[in-house]
Formats: sequence, C-alpha cells, structure tokens
Amino acid sequence: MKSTILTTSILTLSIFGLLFSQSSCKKTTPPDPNEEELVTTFKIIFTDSAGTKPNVVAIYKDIDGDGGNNPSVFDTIKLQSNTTYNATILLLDESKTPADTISNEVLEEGNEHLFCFTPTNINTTIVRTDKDINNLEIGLRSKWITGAASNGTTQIVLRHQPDNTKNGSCNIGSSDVDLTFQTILY
Amino acid sequence: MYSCMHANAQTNCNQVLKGLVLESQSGLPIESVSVFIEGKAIGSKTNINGEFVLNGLCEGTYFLISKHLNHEIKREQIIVSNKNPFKTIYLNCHTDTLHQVMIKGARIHWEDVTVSNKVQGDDLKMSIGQSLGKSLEKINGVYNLSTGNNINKPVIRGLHSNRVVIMNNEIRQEGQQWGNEHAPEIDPNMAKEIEVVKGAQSIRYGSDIIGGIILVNPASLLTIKKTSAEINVAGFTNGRGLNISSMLEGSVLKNKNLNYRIQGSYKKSGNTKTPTYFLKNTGMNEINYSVALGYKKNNWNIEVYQSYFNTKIGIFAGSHIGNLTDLYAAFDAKKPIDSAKFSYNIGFPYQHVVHYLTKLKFNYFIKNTGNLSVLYGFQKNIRKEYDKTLQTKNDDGSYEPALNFDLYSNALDVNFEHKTIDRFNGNLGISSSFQKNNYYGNYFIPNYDRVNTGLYWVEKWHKNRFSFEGGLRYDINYFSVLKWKQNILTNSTHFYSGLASTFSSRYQFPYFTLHANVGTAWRSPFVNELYSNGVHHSAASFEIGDENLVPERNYNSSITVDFNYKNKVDMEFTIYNNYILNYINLQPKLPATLTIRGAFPTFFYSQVNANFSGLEYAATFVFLKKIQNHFKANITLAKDISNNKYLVGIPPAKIEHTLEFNLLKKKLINIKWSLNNSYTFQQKRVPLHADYVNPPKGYYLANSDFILEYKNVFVNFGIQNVFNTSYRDYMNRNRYFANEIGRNIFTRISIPIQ
Repeated sequence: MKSTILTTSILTLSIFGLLFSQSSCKKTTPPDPNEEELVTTFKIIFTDSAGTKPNVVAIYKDIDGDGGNNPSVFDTIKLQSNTTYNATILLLDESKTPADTISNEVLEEGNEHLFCFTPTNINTTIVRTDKDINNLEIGLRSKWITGAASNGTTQIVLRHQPDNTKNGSCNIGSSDVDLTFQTILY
Repeated sequence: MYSCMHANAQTNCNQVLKGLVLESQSGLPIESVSVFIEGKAIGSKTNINGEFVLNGLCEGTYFLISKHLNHEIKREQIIVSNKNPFKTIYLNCHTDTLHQVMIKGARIHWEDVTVSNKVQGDDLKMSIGQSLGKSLEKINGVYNLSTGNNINKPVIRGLHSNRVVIMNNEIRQEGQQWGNEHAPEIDPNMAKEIEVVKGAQSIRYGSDIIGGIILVNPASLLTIKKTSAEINVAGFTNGRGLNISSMLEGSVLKNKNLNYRIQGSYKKSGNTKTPTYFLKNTGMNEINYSVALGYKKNNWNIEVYQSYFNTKIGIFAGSHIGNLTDLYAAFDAKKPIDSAKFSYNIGFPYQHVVHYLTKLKFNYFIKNTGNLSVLYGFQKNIRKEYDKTLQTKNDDGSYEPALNFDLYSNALDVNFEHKTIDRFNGNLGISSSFQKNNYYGNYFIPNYDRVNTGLYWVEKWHKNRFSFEGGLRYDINYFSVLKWKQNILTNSTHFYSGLASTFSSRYQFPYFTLHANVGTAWRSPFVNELYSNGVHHSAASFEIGDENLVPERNYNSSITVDFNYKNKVDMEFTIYNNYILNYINLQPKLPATLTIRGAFPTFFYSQVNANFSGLEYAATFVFLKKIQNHFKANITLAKDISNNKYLVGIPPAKIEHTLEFNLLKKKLINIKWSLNNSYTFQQKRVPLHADYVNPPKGYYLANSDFILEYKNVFVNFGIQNVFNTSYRDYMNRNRYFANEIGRNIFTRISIPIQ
C-alpha cells in the first residue's frame, strides 16, 4: 500500500514535471532578418592630399547580405595618376535606418583587425597610416600614391586577428571583408 | 523487461512443450542440457539431437531455464498455449572459457533474424572516455564523420546524419542532427550496450532508416537485486584529458519492486597535439547525469528516466576561416598559422549544447494475450555556436551565438507484443512525434513544427533452424515552416507519406548461419535540405536548399554468412547493396556566391539516384589456445548513377588486424595484451572538382592495449598511435587544416562496488 502511494506520487510528479517543461515551448516567430547585424556596405573615400583633385568614392553594397539578391553596387576605383590620395574606409549596415557604422567597432578593436591591400597590375603604393594601441597598423586610413596610368585590380581584405595574435602579418586570422575592386589610374 | 508473472492454475494442464537446444555460434545441437520450468518440478534433458519434451504444463507464461556445463545458463520467457508450441534455445559458450572465440566488436545477436553488432562488456569498458561515435568504431564498417577530435558522427555504410537513427534509451534522439558538425548528444557512460543494425532491417523505430540504426541501452532497472555502485576513471596524455563517471543503483526503502539508478559523468580535456604541433582551441568540457526509477508489480511495471547532457567544445582555431582564399592558405601551410601551446582554455569559436531527455514507460502484461507498452519521451535540445565576428559582437563587448537553436521534441509510442500464435510472434504499434524548432541567431534553417505518425506491424516466425521476420510500416510526415522571405513572414507546409517494409530470414546450418534481408525505407527531405541558405564556415561553402525536393527511397538487400568451426575459427562475411532513389545530395553550383567576405563556392541540394554497395569481413582464429588473431576488412562503393559520378565523403576501405595474447588466466586474475594494426586506404573514388583538395593519403596506425582484470576490477593501459604517425583522415573535416592527433597514452580503471 505504502509503495503504491509512493509510486503514484512519483508518477504524478513526473507528469507535472513534463507538463511544466512543455509550457516553456511556445510559438515564436523567427528573428526579423532586418534586426540581424550585417555588413552590407563597404565604402572607400579618397581625398587628394594636395586638395586640388576631386574626391573619389568606391562602394560595394549588398543590402540583403550573403546570398539572395546580388550586390547592387560594386564600383570601379578610378583614381588620377601621379597623385597622393588619403583613403578612409567605412563599413556600414545599411539594412537599418539609420545605418549602423560597423567600422567604429573595427576601430575600437583595432588591435584585432588589419586591412591588407594588394594592387595587381596598377602602379600604386598603398601605406596604412593609422595605428592601434599596440602601435601596429590598422588600415582604416591609408595613403595611396599613384604612378603612371594603368588598369588592374586592388584586393582589400579585412583580417580578424583575435586573441593577441596580431603582429602586423596578413597571414594570421580570418577574413571579415574580402573584395577585389577593378581599378583604373588615368 | 517483463515482470514476474507466474501463471495461476489454468483449466487446461496437459500442454506439451517441444524444443531444440543449439549452440549459438556453431548451430550444432547440444546433448544433456537440463531444461526446466522455473519454480516448477517440470524438467527434462536434451537427447543427442538436442531435442527435449516437457509434459504436463498448464497454459500460461513461464520462465524456461536451460543449463549445461560448458555453456552459459539461459533464462527465457515462454508462453504455453494450446497450440503445442515449439521452442528453439540457443546457448552461448562460457565467456570465460579459453577456447571461446568471438569476432571483436561484431557480436551477432545470434537468435535474431536480423544481423546486428554490439559494443558491450570489455569492448565498452575499453571505450571509457571516448565519444559515442568513437566507441562505435570497434564495429566493422562504422566510421565517423568528425570535426576535430571531439565531434564524431557515426557513419554506417557510407551514410550519416539524417540517414542514421539513434535511439537513446528507447527514445529517438532529436538534436540538430542534420549538421555535419553536430555530434549526437549522448553520454556513452550511461550505456550497458550499444547496438548497431545496419541497413533497413529494423522498421519498428522508423521508416526513414536509410543507413542504419544505433540503439544505446542502459542496463535494465527491473533486474536490480541489490545496492551496488561503479566508478570509472580514464586519463589521456594527449589533451591531458580526464573522464570520471560513476553509477549507483539499488532499491528504494528496501522495496525490491522499486528500483533506482543514478549516474553521472564529467569529462575535461585541453588542446590536443599532433606529432609536431598543438591544435589551438581543441579542448572540451562535458557534464552529464541521468536518474532512473522503476517500479514493478505482478503484471505491470513503470519506468521514469531523465538525463541531462551538457557539452562545450572548442572548434580548432585554424579551421575557422573567412573564405575560400583562407581555406587554401590554411591548406597550403605546413602547419597551422595560428600556433598554440597546451591550454584547457576554450576560446572562440566554440559550441555549447545542452540536451534534456525525459522518458516515461508503462508496460502491462495481459494474461494469455501479450504485452502492451506505452512510451512517452520529451527532449529539449539547446545548441549555441559562438563565433567571434563583427556581426556577433554585442554593444557590451560580449558575443552572441552565431547559430542558436532550441528544439523541442515529444514522442508517444504504443506497442503491443502479442503472444506466440502458431509460431508467430510479433509487435504492432503506433508511434507519433511532435517537434518544434526555434532559432535566435543567424538564419541557417527556419523555425518549423513537425508532426510524424507511423503505424507498424512486425511478425517473426520460426521453426527448428529457420526463422523469418517481416514488417510493414506506414508513416505520414508534416512540416509547417515559418520564415522570412524578402521581408515577408511566410508560412509554408509540406506533407509526405509512404510505406516501408522489410523481410529477413535466417537459416542455421551446422557450422554456418545464413542471413538474408531485403527492405525498403523512405525519408522526407529535412528542413536544412529544403530551406538552408547560408555559409558553412568550417567548409567555406555556401549551401542552398530546395523547397521542391521529394522524399528519397532506398531498396536495401544484404546477405551475411557466419561460420564457426569448433570455436577455433569464427567468421562473418556480409555483402550488401543499397540503391537510393532521389538521394538528396549537395551539388556544386556556378557561379560562386559573391559576398562582402569574398566569393564562396556554392552548393545546392539536388536529387540523384545513387547506389551504395560493399563488403564486410571479420574473422577470429585461435592459435595455441592463448593467441587470438582478429581480422577485419570493409569497403563501401558508392556512385551517383544519374550522372555516372562518384559521391563525396564516402569512407575509404580499411583493413585491420588485432593480435591478442592471454598472458595469465586464473580464477581471480586475467591478463591480456593486444596489438592492433590497421591500414586505411586513400579514397580514390571521388568526383572531380567537387572538393577543394584531394583526399589524404592512406595511413597505417598501431594501437596497443594491456588489460588486467582482478576480481571485478578492470584496468586498461594502452597507447593509441604507437609510432606517433602524422596523418590526415578523409572523414575528418579538419583534414584541410591540420594533422590528426599523435601518440596518446591512456589508463582506464573500472571499479564495481558491491
């Protein structure tokens, strides 16, 4: 008799336990993709250090993020030859209003990020001009010294190098941004 | 599983039970076996042909005991009815006889019509501290799809994930098993035996068992006789890993009908090391427990079981790559660019998975009719995968999981096992499940509700040396999917239904046993195949689902021949073919998907007709009574028939030899030493341009084990990868980035406390 009561109570308890655990399972709508943080836009702004030639802006924009629709804008970088430009990179999330400036986070975590520039077939020298807290370059700001007129590409890669691995080398870490822009010096 | 239910006096007490006693491995009749009814003065001995007759039985249910000097005692339930039943009894040789031979890790459940393999006893003790998947590698033809050393997904005859069903203490395990890097959330420390049934032989647990089924079973609660405990400890040098597990069982309030078992385990390991370098961020922590309570009464019993599984696994830092360029750079590097030292610290990226399982089972024995069981299972699976990226960073500097899923699963099974009628014994039942998935992080698969209901009927028939089993199962499967499509929340539904069937037979010749099976099963496309859309970071690939996929259906056939000669030679040979219509396969798509992180090679789910066939061979030979030679070999040949191409990710052929010496065999003490040599071939049957790099070269590995058993204490000291060989394995997703781990010296101790 005693054991029957014990068993019954254990059973009742476990059934209540199950019902309780069930109640935590409620209907949910999936997270709105508009609320996800995306890097939709890469913008590089060139200003002539001498202040005489017009500013140049090149943009890559893919509002819906990876996959889905193709990027809506993927500009060619058109710079004048034999000029020294100061370049600034902006990373934006334009799927939100107002747009979120992701490059501020890159700057805050400058010691974990590095931009790497690889020009191919164009006569230009690119030098990073900003530094992180460990006095290592970041690359959000850079100097582009163009030579004779030429046609080619420039690969711009943002390397994420967490856990004190950053030492100035581009080999470390993984790519948060990897874009190859058609580039024309004229 | 049945409780004791001795039949009361019945009206008809002139029943005759005839039977035959055979040796399980050789199939030869055994003479002079005492066969008697437990608790009754009815008994007899077998004649030279192994036959016996018991007279004067009443109708009812009894336990039949068979005893013989050289064989293990056997206790089996029988139902005596007015149909004059015939019973074939199989006896196993004493496991402690020196002459006993058995194929390692390939122990066939001899009396079953179907062919299954088990990891149990010493084989299971020699797996302490390993994942469920690794423990199963002892079975011929079972591989693992791995991500590093800690994430292992069992691959049966070339198939895995949604095509392999895992029963966790009779409840179908429901995690996010579609993912290649999502290992089963099961603590093998709780198991008494792990059984693998390959192919479509088993229909009771689902109509979607295309590759095979794994049954992880704890010891029965109902047979606990006294309070006892067990402590298992294992330590490993590579990764400086530790595994502790303990178990306590007994009766509550000295009530022999109310039993409990409590079990828990803890596992920790740090960065593992290849022969030449450490693998950064490859540590793991795991904590698990289970509590079980069982109550039995004359003709019914009930069982409540709850388990908790919690694991945090570091993902090798070198495998976390941004895009294809990174992947090539990582592959070309002689050693990973990210160097590391030993550490227990788990940094980004990592997985954190928690799994709850609750089981409630009620069994009712209906006199002269059969056994009815009702089983309810509830599971909650919480999976969080963390990645340190710009997208996952919170304002406070912490990181939110990149992938975050909650999966709730409910299952209700009602099964009725009818008593033997005209040599027929069978099960029929209904099993239903309801499942709900929610995600919170990035999109990879949508939110969905899923309902599945199946009706099945399986019958077994046996006479003398022939047995037959046939089953049918009809299932319906319904998905309701909620997802964002171009900023509009859309609900779509899918409905699939189909019939599965299986037929198996077994004939026992002297020395030989022949098993033959044909079966067909079908599987609905799963939500990842229908709707996935995103980047797989460890594979640097973009995967796209297809809403219009149709179910895949397989036609499976297999023949197994067992041969046993005087317990000096024991062999098992299997040939199988598995043809899969509308096999869902990831195919490359051009052009690559352009993202801000670069271009990703793109794959989409499509359907082809595929064929999987293979051979499995295992044998044991005994020399000089003290030396056993175990051989194993298997090969899987898979092809996309529609395009006349090979398939990606099929395990390569493997051969293995184990030399086992019985160094000392006394009543209390038993010492063994074994040397295992294996060669895994290079997989050359791969499609062109479907993988970034060629499959790794074949490799040779040596392992050594020393076993000491004193009373019930079990000690296993050994070395894995004795020669510290550098190699890469085709089935490990980390093969692109790093070598496998090097030499690993370990000790395992298992201490039972009575």
